[in-house]
Amino acid sequence: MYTQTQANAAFINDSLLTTTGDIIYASGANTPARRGIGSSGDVLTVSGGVPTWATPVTGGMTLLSTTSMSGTSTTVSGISGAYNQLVITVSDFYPSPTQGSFFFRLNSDSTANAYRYLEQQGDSGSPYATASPQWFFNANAFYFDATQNNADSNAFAWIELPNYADTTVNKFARFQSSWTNFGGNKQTIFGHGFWENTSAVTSIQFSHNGQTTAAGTIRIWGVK
Amino acid sequence: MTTPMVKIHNVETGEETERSMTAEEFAQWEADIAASIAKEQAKAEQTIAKQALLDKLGITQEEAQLLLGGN
Repeated sequence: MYTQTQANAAFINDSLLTTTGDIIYASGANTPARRGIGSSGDVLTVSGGVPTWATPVTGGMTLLSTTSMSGTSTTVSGISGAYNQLVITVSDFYPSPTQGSFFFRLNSDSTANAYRYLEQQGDSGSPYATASPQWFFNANAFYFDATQNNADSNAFAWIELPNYADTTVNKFARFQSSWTNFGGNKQTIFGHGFWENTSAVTSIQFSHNGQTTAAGTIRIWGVK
Repeated sequence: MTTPMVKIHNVETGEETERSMTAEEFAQWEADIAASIAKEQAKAEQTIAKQALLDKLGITQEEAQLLLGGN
């Protein structure tokens, strides 16, 4: 036989558990406490020295936006700063009525703050043996190269902007693209560089120099 | 004067706007075109100068690349 005092000291009262999913933990030495169930998908973690339910931190990519290109420029604005990196793809794009260099600008900055190193190669002879690689400094945009007004170019571009939301350092960019010119010869470029500006990137402008964009789809992913 | 159209997609609000360029944007647009023309001219002049040099040396572009180790 236990007295009530002895029972309280020896056993945990089941009235502590009030709800389905409750668990018992020690909030202090010899101090049982109730932890109510979390939300679906939550994981048990530790905060302040005690267990607690929390939304799991996941990696991977979150699609933030899909934008059809049109007009002389397309700007995607209001980009969340809640990620570590942005990955941008532009697919099936081409200019009209003639060829024009595809380019992007961070925060629509058209001052001479873009520095890039660009390599290009095509499969038709060696058209860029002397023109590539090249270092471009004080440019007013991150230019790729002239893409033709070829609806069958299958042009695809990939841009990475790590640390884009930082407000203390210049912004690094890496980009690449490939497409098919009239006549079927293939072109591919690879470039990297930086935007000499410490502002967080909240918008990106895309354009074909001097042309209208006939087609193209911009997708922006946030990466944790 | 009618200026070219631009598109803005605000991801935060989901709003898509198409409007004419502002005067400032149009000035930048024209400056970009002028810079592009200058770049193309420079590239064309470089191509002509390169061919003239090849002719002077009496070698082909492929032979020049072989000498320079290019691919």
